[in-house]
Amino acid sequence: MIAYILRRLAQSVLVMLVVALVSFSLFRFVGDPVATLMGQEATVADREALRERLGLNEPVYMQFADFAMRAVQGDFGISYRLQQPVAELILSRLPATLELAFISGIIAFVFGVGFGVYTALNRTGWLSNVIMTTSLIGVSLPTFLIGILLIWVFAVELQWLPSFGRGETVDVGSWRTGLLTPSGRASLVLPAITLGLYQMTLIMRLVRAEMLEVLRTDYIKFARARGLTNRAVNFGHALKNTLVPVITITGLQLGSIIAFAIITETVFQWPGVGALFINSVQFVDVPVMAAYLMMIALVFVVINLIVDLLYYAVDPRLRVDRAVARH
Amino acid sequence: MLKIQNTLNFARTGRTMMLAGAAFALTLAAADANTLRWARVGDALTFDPHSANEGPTSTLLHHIYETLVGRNTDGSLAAGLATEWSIHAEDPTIWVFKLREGVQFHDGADFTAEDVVFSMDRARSETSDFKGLHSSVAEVTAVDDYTVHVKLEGASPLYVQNLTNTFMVDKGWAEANGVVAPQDFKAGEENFAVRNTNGTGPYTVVSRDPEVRTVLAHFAGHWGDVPQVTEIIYTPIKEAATRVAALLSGEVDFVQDVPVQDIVRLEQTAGIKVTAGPENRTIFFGYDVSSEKLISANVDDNPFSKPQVREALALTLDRDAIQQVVMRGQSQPSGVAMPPFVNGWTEAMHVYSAPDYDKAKALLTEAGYPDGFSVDFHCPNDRYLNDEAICQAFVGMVGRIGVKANLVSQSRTIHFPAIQNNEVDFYLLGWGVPTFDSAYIFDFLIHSKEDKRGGWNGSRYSNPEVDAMIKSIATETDLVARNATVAKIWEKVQEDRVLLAVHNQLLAYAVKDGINLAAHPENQPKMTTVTFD
Amino acid sequence: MAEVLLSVRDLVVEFPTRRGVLTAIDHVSFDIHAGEVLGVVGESGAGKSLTGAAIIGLLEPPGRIAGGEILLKGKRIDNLGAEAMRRIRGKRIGMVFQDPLTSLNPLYTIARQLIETIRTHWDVSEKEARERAVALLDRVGIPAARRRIDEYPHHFSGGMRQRVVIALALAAEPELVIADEPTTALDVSVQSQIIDLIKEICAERGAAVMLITHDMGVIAETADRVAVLYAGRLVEIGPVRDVITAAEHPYTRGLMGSIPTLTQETDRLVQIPGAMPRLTALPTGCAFNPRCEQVLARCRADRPEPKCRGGARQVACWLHEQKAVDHV
Ligand SMILES: Nc1ncnc2c1ncn2[C@@H]1O[C@H](COP(=O)(O)OP(=O)(O)OP(=O)(O)O)[C@@H](O)[C@H]1O
Ligand SMILES: [Mg+2]
Repeated sequence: MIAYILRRLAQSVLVMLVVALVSFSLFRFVGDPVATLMGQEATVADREALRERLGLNEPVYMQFADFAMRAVQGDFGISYRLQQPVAELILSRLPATLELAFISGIIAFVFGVGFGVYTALNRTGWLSNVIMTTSLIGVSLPTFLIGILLIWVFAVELQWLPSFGRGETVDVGSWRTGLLTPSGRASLVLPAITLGLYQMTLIMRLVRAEMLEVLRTDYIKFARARGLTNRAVNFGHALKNTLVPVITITGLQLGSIIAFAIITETVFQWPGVGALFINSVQFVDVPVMAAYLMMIALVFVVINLIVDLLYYAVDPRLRVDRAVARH
Repeated sequence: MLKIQNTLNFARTGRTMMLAGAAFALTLAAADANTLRWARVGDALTFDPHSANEGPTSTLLHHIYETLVGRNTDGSLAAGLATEWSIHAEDPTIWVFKLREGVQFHDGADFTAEDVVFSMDRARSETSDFKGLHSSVAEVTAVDDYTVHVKLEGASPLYVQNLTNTFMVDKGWAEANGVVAPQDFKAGEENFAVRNTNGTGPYTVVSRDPEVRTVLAHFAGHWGDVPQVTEIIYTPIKEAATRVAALLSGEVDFVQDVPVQDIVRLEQTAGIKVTAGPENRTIFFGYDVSSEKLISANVDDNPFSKPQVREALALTLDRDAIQQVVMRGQSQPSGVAMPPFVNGWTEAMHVYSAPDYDKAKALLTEAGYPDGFSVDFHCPNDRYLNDEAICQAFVGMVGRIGVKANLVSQSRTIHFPAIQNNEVDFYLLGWGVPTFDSAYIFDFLIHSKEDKRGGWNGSRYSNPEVDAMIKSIATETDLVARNATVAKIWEKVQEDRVLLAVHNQLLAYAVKDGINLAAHPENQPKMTTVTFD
Repeated sequence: MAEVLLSVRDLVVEFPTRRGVLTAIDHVSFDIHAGEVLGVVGESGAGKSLTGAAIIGLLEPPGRIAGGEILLKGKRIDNLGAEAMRRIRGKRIGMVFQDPLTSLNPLYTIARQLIETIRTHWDVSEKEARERAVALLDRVGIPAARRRIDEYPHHFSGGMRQRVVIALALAAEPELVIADEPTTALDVSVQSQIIDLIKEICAERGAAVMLITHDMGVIAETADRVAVLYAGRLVEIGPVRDVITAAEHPYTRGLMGSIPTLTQETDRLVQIPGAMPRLTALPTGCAFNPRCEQVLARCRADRPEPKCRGGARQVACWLHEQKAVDHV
């Protein structure tokens, strides 16, 4: 087990290095940081001097080597745009994104599984039809539009919820949370729904399909034949089997949620890492872009690992297979 | 303010008490009697006053730090930390500044001439982003506590115009905190001044969460009158639709960057007021007028080098159509690439002719391109109001005479370096004129590319006669003679059609009813000028 | 003879489909007596499993009972509410499915599945249920039951798993066990052990068995009586010995030809030429008439109903009607 985790971690480091290298070679297509870093009065010589100071005249592989060397020590440099240490910037924005992603993930999972189970158990009910149709609209509308729509309905027309920002926050140690204040929680509602909607639909459809599949299996029929209650059969037996594949997908979706948060964060002016990244791209803030991409890669790698371990915990068959394989 | 919001909720929606109550609950924390909640597209990048010569950064810093001279809404200069300024009677290369007395920094230190000398030196240092504005400065000296001499390398009658965004910092504070120079990225360490401030401005920083929220409160020790706005809550909202929504929902009082497409609707919304005004920024098309051959054209020579082709292109440009269709009326079409605020502007140059496609086609044929030609047309898509849409419109217009412009629209971070490096044949560019003088246009756009001039001369226009005149106005102290030369340069620039002017941008601010704020030509509104009804 | 435990009367099972209503079980009637083993045979698709599903109340929609009644100890159970029917399942009627590999939930231990079943029907403590579960496993022949009870299904071989399934089906001591092809998926070497186990353990507890199978050999050795289904209709029913030695319906006779000897195995019933018609294309008259070697004109026109042929036997065939008429 330990060996397995270690091996996976070693692979992860490799993945991260590749991500860093690829992003580094892509940055030059994003634009020239010097163009935004200096006012329009700057002369050619000024620009050249800054370029030299930033090390942009070095070959890409040298820049990368320099970045990698420092990154290992946790030093991601200073943001060109905000002139603050990148690591600190990202860490200060991460709680906002994680809270949003986490709540969205919960919304997506709870409602996704709930609706999925409901529509699987009541295949022909009118409510199922309503849910299925609405969910189709949910996936086909772009996140941006959903966000704006929600803002117009709930912030402008009804004036129930804030249209932007995080509301009041409280610092718990170095973690800035919006979960502890009423305005912080109110501010979370619309962005979390916007961000979670797509994943919710995805999970719902997956759960429904899996559940229908599971409900057809012999062990479910046998469970019914033994007189187990519907509750025990549907939730104890069918749902648990449904969740095995669903966990993998949902877990991986959490990574996507964090990555997709970019759009939602922009629409709602949510001060997370996604908004930070978008602004950095527009400014060609290379240190922030590089660190963000590394962070996303890390998130995916870690989530993958956790999902594998979870899978392992949920499905006893895997345990034996591995055990056997080791002998 | 509370009252205003109250009326807004009822007047606009006529909804029940309960809903209005809900809105109150949300905004209660901010809706104080003298609080102004201000939203715009981006945040100040840094609080270091000399580190980023960038609009939103300067706008916010103007409330915390002050400059020697300021700018009124009509474009004229206003007294700031300097109460008087003049060219030295005996030496035309020296500007003399008389400083305001009794001014204090937020930390209580007195503002004196040595702070000005220090600040000017800091603004001129290697890592300053303002050094370009002060490249002609030879030395800054304190004559006495309240008099400063700025010695230039040559006479510069308009140098004072360069000072409107150069902030004054406290020498003692800067030295004590190790911020003698602005942020050096190479050092890899954050500069103390990025997050800490000590200015003489009307407001002090209460709290700052970059790109989230900045709260400023009135500085009791400020030398000026107490403004009506005593607290500012500044929130960047990047997304245009969200920004407008926040205003409509009553969560903010003032939106600085109103999207063009929302202006009309906001004007018609009860409880919201839109103030528009001309911005000191011109939009024009440029083309390579001097190369032998273009990079992207399908012909072996350079059509843009021929006067008939440039005239033909000018005859295809339907400025009124762009104003009405693309800009929804929010622009000021112009025949010259210069906003009306700028010294050198005349009504005559501003006039433009209607498109004439037959004549344009004939000129093109005469120039030797009866079938037209094709060329890449570069456009930024994230810099100016509707930049990409303007380009698309123009592609259609030149297409009518057989010129096939292949639109390449890119981020400004790619577009700008390409222009500076002479990598594009044909492009759109905008130009703001912070000094309010034609020389700023000539220096960067018209003068041949050389060390300190011609940096944005993507037209590659090079006329030794014009260059000489441009150099001469830099040091000409006789303003009448100088203005005559400026007029002559413009005459030549217009005759040679170096730049194809499109329009000047307009600014629009949206505020809640009951708040009065004029549009500022440099888009640097000061909350001290806000009044409540 | 023992009292009637289960009585199926004129059972009709239908599937509404887009192309009209499909009658999968067509007026089938039979009884099962307490403690007896009733074999049910017929070709694939004859309706054996559906009959079992109808009895235990687990027809899958859109399938539904469209006529007739099912009585358990004289009480109708086909029209019971969902909850009342659930209480009967497992407790009074148990069921064993064909494939032990897929009948057990792979994510739960044997213990959990057994205890859950026991506690659904008996009001006993977890501990008590566990004791009973161990005893049951012991009884169905799982060695080291106390230890192995906490293992997952995939730790057991196919034969062992079917023993677990049997334990589960019998956990609440039902009066009737429906075993739907309980050995088809198993290795030949263990098939007879499992059949024997079912028979033994049911006999022990006085439970009746409805044994659905293709294997006439099994029927011959195990069943007391046998019912033969063809295209959703009951064609013949009677004591095993009588039916085997003197099958009266031509279809049954064909089936009997397929009884394997001990050494030779015959799996599917392929001896009768032709194939069972699809439910959508049933001929008029007797459903078997296209394949029947002794077909009469009447067989093509009218449908024969099961008629008593003396003793406990019934046959639905015009041949015998004919004879009966002749006798008059
Ligand atoms: N959902 C359904 N829709 C339509 N017809 C069905 C459905 N389920 C079963 N049937 C039909 O009912 C008939 C009886 O099926 P059943 O499963 O009872 O056969 P069986 O005798 O058990 O066969 P096997 O030996 O293959 O198990 C079959 O002809 C089948 O086509
Ligand atoms: Mg079957």
